Amino acid sequence: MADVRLALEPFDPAAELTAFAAAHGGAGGIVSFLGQVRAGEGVEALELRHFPPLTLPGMQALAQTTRDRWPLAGLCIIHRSGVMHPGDPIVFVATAARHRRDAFAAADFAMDHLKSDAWFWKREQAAGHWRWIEPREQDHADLARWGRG
Amino acid sequence: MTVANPLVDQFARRISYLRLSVIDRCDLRCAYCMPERMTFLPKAEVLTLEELHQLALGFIARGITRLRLTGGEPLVRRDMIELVRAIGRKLGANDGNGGLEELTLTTNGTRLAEFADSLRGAGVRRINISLDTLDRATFAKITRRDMLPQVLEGIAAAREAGLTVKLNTVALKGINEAEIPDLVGWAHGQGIELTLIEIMPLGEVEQDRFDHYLPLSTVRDSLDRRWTLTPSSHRTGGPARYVDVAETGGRLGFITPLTNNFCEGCNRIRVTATGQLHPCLGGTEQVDLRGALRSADPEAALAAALEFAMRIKPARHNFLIDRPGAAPALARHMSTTGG
Amino acid sequence: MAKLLFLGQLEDIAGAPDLTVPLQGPTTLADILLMLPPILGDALSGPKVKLALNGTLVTSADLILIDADELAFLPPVSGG
Repeated sequence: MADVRLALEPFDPAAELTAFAAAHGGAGGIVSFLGQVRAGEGVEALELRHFPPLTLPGMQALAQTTRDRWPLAGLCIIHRSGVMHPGDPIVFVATAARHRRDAFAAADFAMDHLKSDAWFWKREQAAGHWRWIEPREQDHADLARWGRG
Repeated sequence: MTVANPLVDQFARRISYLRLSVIDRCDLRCAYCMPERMTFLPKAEVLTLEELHQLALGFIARGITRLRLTGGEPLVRRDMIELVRAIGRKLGANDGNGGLEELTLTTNGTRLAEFADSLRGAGVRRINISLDTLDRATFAKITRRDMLPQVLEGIAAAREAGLTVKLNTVALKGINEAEIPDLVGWAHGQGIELTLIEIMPLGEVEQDRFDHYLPLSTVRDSLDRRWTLTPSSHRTGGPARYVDVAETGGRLGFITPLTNNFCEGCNRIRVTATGQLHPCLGGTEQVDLRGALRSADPEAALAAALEFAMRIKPARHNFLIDRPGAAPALARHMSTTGG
Repeated sequence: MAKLLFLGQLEDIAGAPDLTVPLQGPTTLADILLMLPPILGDALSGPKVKLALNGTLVTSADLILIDADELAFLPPVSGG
């Protein structure tokens, strides 16, 4: 079963990884990815907005697709929504599998889809001004690597 | 058969055809449909026999007259025959709550030898069987299971039971491509109609690379060189286009996923094994009927959900290449949990 | 009355996260967009804006809204 959460408050990725590893002690390999708010470039804060009817259901569907595609022992996806500051965790993905390649590929797949396919909108505050972030072409190119569907 | 309150969408299309998936599981593992190690849904997610029956009755009362049961593989559901019998009682019914004109089934045929007589007894007259090859090794390669003998036995049993069989064949480049004329000839030789189905071209699929896209135009060209094909005016209300083959005396259908010139007359909707209503094959719309069925007032909730579905059924589907999640190809072969 | 929700940068163009519009009976989306300031109407009908009616994604732009409907306008996402 996948553990999929939309976090409206800060979460502790280290504790999540420890708990995930403990829950999947029998898996041969665990891969985790942590995305955090970048420091520098004058960014003071970052806000993610979500749309309740679609965001968490979409993340759950992504988890199901990921599990259909790779033989995973476990999958954890946590994504923040709300206002964050540099260094704060935004997104955490962990996969547990018998073989490391499955774990790496599944985590990569889930991240690419969270970046460009999940129902989140992002804006940044710099010099006191908020600015919405446009989707990046690179994110769509990343997604295209996986084929469609 | 008329009902008091038929399902009509906002484009005044009367909805009379329902494809109802009864299970996401399958005993085959066709590479174009699901991964080898498929994660199936927990049982509680899938509609129960009672829920499927209640749903079917609800749809029939709203003017559905043709109902096709699909999967996964419907015949791996343990209580399948019970369900077919229950729904079959609505065939020709005239009790004021609607009636069915036809109850059909799409199956891979592996279990037909066992169930053909019971299906016929329950009122089924026509079934569609998915078959991509007559070569045992090729069958095992496509489906990852060595079950061709069971399928052929199933087809024979269905015919002996008096069921009209139609074959659906997915055209796969480099796999069954060379064999398609023989397959068509074999089917027509027994009076069986066959429809060829094109899959969407897939990109790089990690570890499970499946790139056997074969345009049906290519297949048709090669069949045209061998036989005399005459476009047929036969229509079923679905996406298939037909030709008559002079030499075999049979009819051959073609289904390409990009064909959308049948949207105007679209009279169909489909429901997944988890009770999610998809008003359009190519759309992302989804209405939760299971939630309605499991609510405090199922009848009212179901009626409200159906009204909503009629409002959002799109005018036409939109098979855009840049829209992930909309992959429309082959709904009848896709198990319910995919993409 | 129907409620329109604006996600992402559409909120800035609309000047508010949502807007309630009065309906005299069932009204097409096209007619509702005409009630709005042109700059907002244009932004909402852009080709990349997706729609969710009462929480369900819809692909048809030929929608008819009825009383108590909630229609969300979803611009391209930018997550993670």
